[in-house]
Amino acid sequence: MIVDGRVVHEVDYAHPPERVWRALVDSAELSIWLMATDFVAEVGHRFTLQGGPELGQVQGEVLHVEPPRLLRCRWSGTLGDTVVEFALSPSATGTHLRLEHSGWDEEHLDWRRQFHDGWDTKFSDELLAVLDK
Amino acid sequence: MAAVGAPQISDAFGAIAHPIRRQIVTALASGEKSVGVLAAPLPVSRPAVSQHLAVLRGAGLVTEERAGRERRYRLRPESLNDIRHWLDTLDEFWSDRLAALADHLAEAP
Repeated sequence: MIVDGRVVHEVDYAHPPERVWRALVDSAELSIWLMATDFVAEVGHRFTLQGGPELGQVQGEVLHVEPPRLLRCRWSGTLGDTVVEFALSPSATGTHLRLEHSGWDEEHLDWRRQFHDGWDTKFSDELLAVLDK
Repeated sequence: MAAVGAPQISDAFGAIAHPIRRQIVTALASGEKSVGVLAAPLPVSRPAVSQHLAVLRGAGLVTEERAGRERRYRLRPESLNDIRHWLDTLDEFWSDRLAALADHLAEAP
């Protein structure tokens, strides 16, 4: 789905969050379902993803790690400068995963980092606008 | 179709990551406008709007024309098509990857 110029996907998995989280941070597992990688879930860690025809090679940097709830990384390379965020929450059937892939905007990103949890998107956008004056 | 990674597409993706710039792009969808008209409904100063327009121009989404002393801005439809196409490609990429994740979890619970 494309929402506000970002790619957003919401998916439910019949597995607990801790299991889904492991698949997001273990390099052997990532290499199976995502792309070959040397990923390590540590803030500041730089990694590569051997992309296919769609994304080319990706240089990544881990921005935020909060197991098993939130993982945010910068993905850069031929695809440009972007941010990928996985948010996990427990659900009746297992795990609800929200994936958001957006363009990198330095100023916008700082506020979104701080106000991610529990804030209504519209409100935080208005707040950003006021602070922009 | 522009290639993935052509500077303008990746710049455009970053440009629309900002909510004020998305509002400017939305406003320009109904036709070219001056800075004053664009700034009027926005909760930011006119210089801030000019700065956002500079980012949008740098990303190839908007062009500027001088009409006397006024500057008028217009969307570049080719850029919008390029970015829509890029977003579709990215959308499909993630559909496929997240389905592959489901398969992987099923095989190795």
